[in-house]
Amino acid sequence: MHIHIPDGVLPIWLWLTGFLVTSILLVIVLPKLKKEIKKIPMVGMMTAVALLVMSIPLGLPVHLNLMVLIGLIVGVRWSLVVALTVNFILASFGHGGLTIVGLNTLLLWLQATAGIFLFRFFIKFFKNYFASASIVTFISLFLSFLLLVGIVAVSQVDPRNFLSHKHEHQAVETAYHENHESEVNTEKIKKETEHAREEETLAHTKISLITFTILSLPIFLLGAVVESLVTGFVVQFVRRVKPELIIKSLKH
Amino acid sequence: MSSIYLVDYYSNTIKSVVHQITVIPKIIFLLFVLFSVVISKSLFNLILIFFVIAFLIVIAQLPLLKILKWSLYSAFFASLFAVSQIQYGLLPFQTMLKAIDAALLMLFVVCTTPYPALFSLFGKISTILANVFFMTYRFFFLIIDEIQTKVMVLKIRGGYVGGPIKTLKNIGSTIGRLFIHSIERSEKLYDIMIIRGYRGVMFSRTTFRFRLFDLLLIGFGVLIFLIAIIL
Repeated sequence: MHIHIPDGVLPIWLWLTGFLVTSILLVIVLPKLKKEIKKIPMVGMMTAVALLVMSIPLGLPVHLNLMVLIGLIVGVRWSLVVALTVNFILASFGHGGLTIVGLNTLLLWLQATAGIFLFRFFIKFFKNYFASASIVTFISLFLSFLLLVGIVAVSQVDPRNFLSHKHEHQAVETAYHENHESEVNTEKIKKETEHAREEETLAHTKISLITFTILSLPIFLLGAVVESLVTGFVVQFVRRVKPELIIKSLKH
Repeated sequence: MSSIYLVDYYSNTIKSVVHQITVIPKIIFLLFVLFSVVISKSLFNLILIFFVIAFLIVIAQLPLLKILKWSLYSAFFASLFAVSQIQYGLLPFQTMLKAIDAALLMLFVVCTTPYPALFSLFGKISTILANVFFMTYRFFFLIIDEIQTKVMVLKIRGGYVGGPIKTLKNIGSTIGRLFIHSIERSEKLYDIMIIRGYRGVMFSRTTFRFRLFDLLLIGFGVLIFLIAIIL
């Protein structure tokens, strides 16, 4: 689940926070990865596969991500690098804004990390690789979707912030002139105007968030169900043909 | 995603004035214009940026219509957000235009700059990141044919018929095979690289050169940024 919100819609502080958190994680993770250079070609290959898999036609208006599966193969630390690389290359094609790369990296990494830990837990109970991988993928994608909605909610996107402020100034000036004769009431009216504007802003935020969620939810559900089933089938296949790949991830 | 083929072709084979500009001025230009798109609250400004980038794409001898078509992909997802702003007059158009402008800008930069030149910048941050970026780029072209063949075989063998679950199972098996082949291939490649002296570092050179056109492009970016602030 990517954020395909364009550049300039989310507030600057939010996407900067995304970059900051991603950078901190990279500063922690990258020195440890220097000891694992043997994995670099495999990680490069997995990233290339992730990018290509997105182009496989499914006959549905969604594409695959497979971050949970990649997480299971490359592990928690490397999946951060995969998430960053995938998002940067996608952004260079206009698939999601460049400013959103930090947040998108966190979203994809959350999918992979949640998937790895949940899979280790679920496989003990189900003993069925298809069921475990499918359920875990769905839960990971759902967590990622919740974070996406949370990001939009936290951003408190007020559409008027993106419009020219000229109208607001005009409104205040008009109110000011109309009440020019009674200067005593001016301050009071100004405060009431500000208050009404704040309430209106909150209402707009709510509408945007609800509409965004309603519009995104069907796409998410369709994508999550498809991805969960495909991940389940792939894990089942890999388990049958090359089981050490999956077993390795359970031992980490 | 096979459009990456064309992007690679455009960035490496076309020899326009824009292609000869080095990567650093292009990145500075990108940052100025991208920030202008981000802070822009005027529809006029966004339209202006659109035409400026379109003009640069034409100057760079790139196929404008094709690149415009690619940039529309971002508009589809921006429409999710734009629809939720439908009651605010021109705001949905601004949201859509921001998406298109940003995508067009990125496409302009990647279609005029070879990927290795772009990725070499990551080498200044981390050798691991630069390695992964370079290898992803290299491996992408190695396996793109394989995946296209696999999808074709899947279609010929009736992999897309028999209901949605059967189709997804067939796709799952195909992707599973692709994963296993790719991992085995990466292990072989690692052995070859080690024999050839690979020790976890890939050397690349970033050209720091500021000629007339390099400075002009930066100036263009600064100008757009100033207009965005004023408007």
